[in-house]
Amino acid sequence: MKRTFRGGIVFPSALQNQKETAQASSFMTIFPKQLHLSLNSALKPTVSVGDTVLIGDRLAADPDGKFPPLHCGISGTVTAIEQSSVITVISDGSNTFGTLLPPLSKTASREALLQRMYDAGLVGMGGAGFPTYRKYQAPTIRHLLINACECEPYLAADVRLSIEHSDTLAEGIRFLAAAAGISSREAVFCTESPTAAARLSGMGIRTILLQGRYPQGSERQLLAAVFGREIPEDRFPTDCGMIVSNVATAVAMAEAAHGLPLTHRSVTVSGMVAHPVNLFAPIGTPFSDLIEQADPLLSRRRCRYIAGGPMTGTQITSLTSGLPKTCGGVTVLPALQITKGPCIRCGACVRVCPAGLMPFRIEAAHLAGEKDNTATACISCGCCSYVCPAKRNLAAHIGEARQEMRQRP
Amino acid sequence: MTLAAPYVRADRTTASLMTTVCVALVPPSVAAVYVFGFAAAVRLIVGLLTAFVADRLSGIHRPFDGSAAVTGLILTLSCPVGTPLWLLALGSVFAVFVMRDAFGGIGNNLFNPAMAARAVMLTVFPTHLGGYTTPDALSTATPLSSAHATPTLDTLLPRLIGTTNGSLGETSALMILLGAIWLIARRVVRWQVPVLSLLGFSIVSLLTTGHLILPLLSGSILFGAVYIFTDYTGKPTTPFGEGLFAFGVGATAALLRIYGRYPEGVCFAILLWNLLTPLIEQLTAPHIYGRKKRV
Repeated sequence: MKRTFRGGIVFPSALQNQKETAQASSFMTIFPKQLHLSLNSALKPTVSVGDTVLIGDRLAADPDGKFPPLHCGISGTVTAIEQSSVITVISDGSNTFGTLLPPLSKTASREALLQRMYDAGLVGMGGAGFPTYRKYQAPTIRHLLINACECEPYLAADVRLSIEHSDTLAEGIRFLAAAAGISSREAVFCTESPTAAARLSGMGIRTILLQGRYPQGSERQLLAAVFGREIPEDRFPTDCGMIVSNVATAVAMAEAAHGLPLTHRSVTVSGMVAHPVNLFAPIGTPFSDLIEQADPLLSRRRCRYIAGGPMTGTQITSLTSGLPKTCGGVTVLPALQITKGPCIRCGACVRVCPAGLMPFRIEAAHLAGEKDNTATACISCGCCSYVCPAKRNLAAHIGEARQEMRQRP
Repeated sequence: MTLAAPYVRADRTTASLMTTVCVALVPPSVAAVYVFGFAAAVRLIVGLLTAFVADRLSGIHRPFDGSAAVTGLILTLSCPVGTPLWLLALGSVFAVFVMRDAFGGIGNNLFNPAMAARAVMLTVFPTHLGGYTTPDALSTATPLSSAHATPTLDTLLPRLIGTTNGSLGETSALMILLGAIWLIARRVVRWQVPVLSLLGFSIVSLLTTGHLILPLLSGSILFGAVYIFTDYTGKPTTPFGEGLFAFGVGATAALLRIYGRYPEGVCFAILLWNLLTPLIEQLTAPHIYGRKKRV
């Protein structure tokens, strides 16, 4: 019996098959004509309109030195900076590299590696976007998990990355272990894919094959599955001596050690498309350029574009907006309308909730304007809404309830 | 309605669930018609139609989700073939209008609507609902009166295949088993509910009467374990609470059958445990990830 966590969902075979097809599709690097790079509130542009930039050049940095900088993935000219929050770069078509960072040796010190994480702009690429160096500077780390449990339907880039670039990944894992101050033998590669597990095992990395169940890739659920213990609600895994990093972050670490800042990322474009593809795309590639590569089967009006997977992704409102560092997938789905009915108390949401909540109750309390203090334990996986036969938007309501509770506890 | 994340949803809907339950009710309905003939068919149609009409009258604005059909069928199948048609229609309307919709509609009803209606019918019109008829139309005592005798092949076989007397749906154990397999295979019912309720029933039966097989195959305990105790609304949603509920309702049905005023205990057992459901649910709330104690 493979290890897993409590609750969750095993998706029907139609969805599983699509995922396996996508996992078998090799990476393709794309060279977009322009980039739109969004800055968060910490980052300020370090270039001005009209500047010429090369691949790897810094575009924005945090004046306080806390949030890692943003680098350019194409060579060209900065043509616009909108309200200091979106930088547009038009490509010159040459894809010339700029001055890169000096390569680090395999025996680089922990401090040097943490500094490199910052300089190369590393953030958690599994979705959280938390600065990687801050996670790794925690004083006493004992366990490092490399997360390739890509449990959402359609997404395949993490598993594909583990299979196709297992050497770079293994190297990255060793650097990450050194940055955490532990032996690389303590790092464990976690996946639901037997092929990926075999590859990394062959590279001398400890691997754990987990049951294919959603949300196995959720940090706290993964730790529960591997170590059989829960992280207290008000603490982070690092407080308990554990780090979970996504495979894309590990690959970015290996490249950073070689001197390449984080300028590209792996992304799956899948769903209602003719050819599901795995792409290496520069950060900031317009979503329309990504979607084009997969030939959507439906017209724009009849479908919905999701940044990320269908369970936890967000709707893409503007197709010109650029790919962020945290987004590993674009999913094209038909614009379905659903009919909501009353809760029939079937208990399906209770059985699937990995957090042990009673979603139908929290929803009812929220709709009635009452507080249910269990809502803050929700991990927003969406399992409850997925299974609900009455098609209630349980997860959305619990999310709102949690938000309200955090604002005024 | 526009969709919020997640953007994929399982295929199952309330209506498809109810359809699956209706399909599961086909084998005992067929057995009822086979055993009791035309009168059973008429009752099934009347029970079903009145429930449907009541549902449409009560909620014309909402789409038909099939739950009224389930209520109508279960009510009819839990009544004897001699039930007057007017009483059946009255009970069916009462189940949908009062026991379900007056409590706030599907999911909000306190009691299983069919069983609550049956309890009212039984207490208000005891003589109309008490008359059981054998397939050959000779009036005899219900098998429950002889249920404590030592089982022989002669007494067991009719109960298995359904040629014994009793309420419409409870005559054939094999047909009920067929429905149970379908419901469990379709994952509409978790196997724990019928199994634990029959376990509770068996333990109490064995301890109080010393018999097991005949009591199990007599009366409506099998029908209840598969179709009635598994009703979503009246049982706890927590997995542990659900198991506790199932065991308890089975045990109570056996106790009521032996010590109660009425020959059968299923109907009142489920109503009692429907009342306990909120309490059980509260006490068996699952452990919340990362929290030490329940808040």
